[in-house]
Amino acid sequence: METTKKKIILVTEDDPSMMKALVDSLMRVGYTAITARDGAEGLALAQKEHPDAILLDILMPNMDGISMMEKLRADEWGKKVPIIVLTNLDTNSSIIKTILQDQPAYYLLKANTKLEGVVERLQELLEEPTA
Amino acid sequence: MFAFNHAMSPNPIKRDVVDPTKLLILIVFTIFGVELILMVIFTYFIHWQQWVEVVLDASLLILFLFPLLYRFVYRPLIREIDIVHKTEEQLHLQSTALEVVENTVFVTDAEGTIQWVNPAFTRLTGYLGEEAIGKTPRILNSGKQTPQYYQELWHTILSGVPWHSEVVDKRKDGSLFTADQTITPVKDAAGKVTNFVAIQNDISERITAEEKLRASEAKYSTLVEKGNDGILILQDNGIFKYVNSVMCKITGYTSEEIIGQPFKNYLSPEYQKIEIERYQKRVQGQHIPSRYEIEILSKGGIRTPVEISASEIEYEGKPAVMAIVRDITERKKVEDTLKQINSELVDSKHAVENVVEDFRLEKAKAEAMLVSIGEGLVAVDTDGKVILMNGVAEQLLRWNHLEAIGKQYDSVISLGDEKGSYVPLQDRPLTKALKSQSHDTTFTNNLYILSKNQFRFPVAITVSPVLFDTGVIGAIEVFRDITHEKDIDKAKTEFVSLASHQLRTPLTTIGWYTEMLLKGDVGAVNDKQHQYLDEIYGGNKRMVELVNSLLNVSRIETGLFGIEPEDVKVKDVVDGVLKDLTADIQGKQLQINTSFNDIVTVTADPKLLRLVFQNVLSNAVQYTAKAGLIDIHASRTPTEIQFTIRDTGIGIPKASQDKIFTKLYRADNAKDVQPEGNGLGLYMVKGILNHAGGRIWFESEEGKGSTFYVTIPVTGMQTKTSTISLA
Repeated sequence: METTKKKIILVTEDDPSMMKALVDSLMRVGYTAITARDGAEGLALAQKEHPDAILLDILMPNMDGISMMEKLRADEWGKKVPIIVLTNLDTNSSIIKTILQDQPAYYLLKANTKLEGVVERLQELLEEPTA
Repeated sequence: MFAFNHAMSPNPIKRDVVDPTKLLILIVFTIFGVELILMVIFTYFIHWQQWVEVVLDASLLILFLFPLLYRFVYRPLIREIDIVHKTEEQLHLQSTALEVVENTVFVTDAEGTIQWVNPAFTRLTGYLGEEAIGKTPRILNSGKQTPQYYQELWHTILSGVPWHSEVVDKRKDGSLFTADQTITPVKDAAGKVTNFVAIQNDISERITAEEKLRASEAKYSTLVEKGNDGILILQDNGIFKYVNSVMCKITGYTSEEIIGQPFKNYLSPEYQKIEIERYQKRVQGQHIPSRYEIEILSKGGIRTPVEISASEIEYEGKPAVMAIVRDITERKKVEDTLKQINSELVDSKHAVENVVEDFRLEKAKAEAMLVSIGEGLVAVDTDGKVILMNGVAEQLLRWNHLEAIGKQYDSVISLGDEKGSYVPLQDRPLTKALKSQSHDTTFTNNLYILSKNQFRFPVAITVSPVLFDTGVIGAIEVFRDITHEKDIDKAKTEFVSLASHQLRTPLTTIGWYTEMLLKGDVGAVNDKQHQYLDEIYGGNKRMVELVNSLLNVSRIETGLFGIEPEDVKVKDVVDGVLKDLTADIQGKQLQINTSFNDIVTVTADPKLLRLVFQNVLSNAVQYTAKAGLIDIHASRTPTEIQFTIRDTGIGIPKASQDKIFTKLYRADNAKDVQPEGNGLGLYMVKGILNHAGGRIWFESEEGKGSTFYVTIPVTGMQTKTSTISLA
């Protein structure tokens, strides 16, 4: 892993505690984490840095995760970037379907998911063998 | 003939006054007579000159002697002649009378030989005079009279006494007749019976009349005595003068006991006074109803209801009251029965009237309700033409009902979906209801109405086909503006979403940091610390599950969750759930058998189906002891897909069996085995299945195991639209 360039993961999360836990976990398994505290910032950062994957909260100030995702999916790069929607918000199943449809994406309910599970899904999306 | 002399009372002949003309003629004739006699005598021995002297002398002598002649010779002679003459006249008269009388008269001699008959005899008997005369009256013998009769007859008449009797005689033609017969013996001057005069009077007709009268009397007597009605006659202040046998039977007394007694003594006490009044008034000629009912007090104090039909009559020359008395005991019974039936009928009639009145009221109420119903109401006929529109509908649709009625309903109610597209006519609930021929009422709350003035609002629509007998005769669409409800729903949904988010956020933080500590990300933890951190982690996890469950329960209870059925692979769902339970299954070495038969996919909301299996299977795993058996089986009935989940676990105590679907309830033995359960699982499963058209029930015996049955309709879970899904 030291020979390859570290994968960059954008973590878009407005809650600092959760942000810290996610960043720590990602770094521990060897990813580079970049962070954004709301949707607008996350969208700008994503479009600027083109991270390898995005962890995306839904309920955030300025721009919510769904809107940010829609905007991301609007451009060529954004269509392909794996996104894990990581939220504590119960969402309409049809919206979840839209998120997941033909897209490299996961929808995870934070409270029901271990950090370990988040990393596993991420690794799965990045087609890396589990560390 | 001389018999008549005797038979008639002789009229004394009056003393004649001498007629002078007759007297003169008599004198002349006497003189001439004597002269003639003298002339004959003296012709032979005297000379004709002497003859003249003799004649003159004789004439003078006669004239001289005439008064003497007259007194002693002529007058008696003339008288005798006169009597004979008069008698002859009388005889002629009497004979003529005998000839013309209607009575049959014949005369016999002393030996009984008929000597004379009158024409009436011929008319009656048929025998002509010449046929009868010379014969005896035996020609009339009919043989109907006994020998003693004739003996007595002869004995009587021969002794000179007239005989009177009725006799049946025979006519010449053999027919019989009855006659009233009088035979009178006729005696001569010496008192010897010389003739018999028989007078017969045909009384056949009288006999017939009498017989008729007797028959008539017998008939009336029979009617009176053998009829069903009692008959009585009262007179003199209501005293019985007559009662017939039926009346005796009714009262139980003999006619001897009754007659002479006052009528009132035979009446029930309460009728006595009024009957006396009635009697008196009737006799006085006052108007009294002729027919009424009273009670007779029969022998032995038995009260017999009777119908009286009374009228005023004259009896034995005095005013009286005759009454026909009919025993109406049986009729009363029938009447009572009829009264009862009638009363029942009246009751039924009242009941029916009440029902009709109720219907009328109900109809009026229904109409009032329809008019004042707070929801829009439009009724259509089978052709989809509007036949009724209430005020609220008018307001909501901005249509006047007068304009709307008769129009196709889709031109009056413009229906669109959430996205703003029109709902095609064939997809509209009302169209479906008209076609359905079923009782099904459909409810939709995700459509919008575009009013006449282009105002769009969300509506909840209930459509019911109107069924009469077996056919659909129209349909009713009831709708209401649910803008406000939608707003509230949205607010609720947002609140719940937010609440769940806010509750989960700190729980996630606790979970994640505990997870990192446990993994030793920030340095190794000792066993004790690991054990404590496990408790924190476990507790946090239960809290997360509790929040999830409570949110689900709240959504199930408010109905604010969606059901979005799709084809789901049963095996995938069950396997997924079992995978989550792997740790426990392996830890307890449970044996799991699955048999889905031909059931590969079901139409269900995958998330809800998973929730159902998650709860039922996790219970089975949790409450089954080590090395137990769990059997998962699927089968099909004509209407349902049935899942059977059988375990060999602790079972459900009898006392808890009716409570286990109750919210937060946990059976005692379950608490012992698994203290951490929240008592929401089965409650939630039942709620989900209720909404989805499925069912859940169980059989269980404590200590032996439980079998849970879960069904969903063959047609799949019922779709339920909502923006919210269960966690």
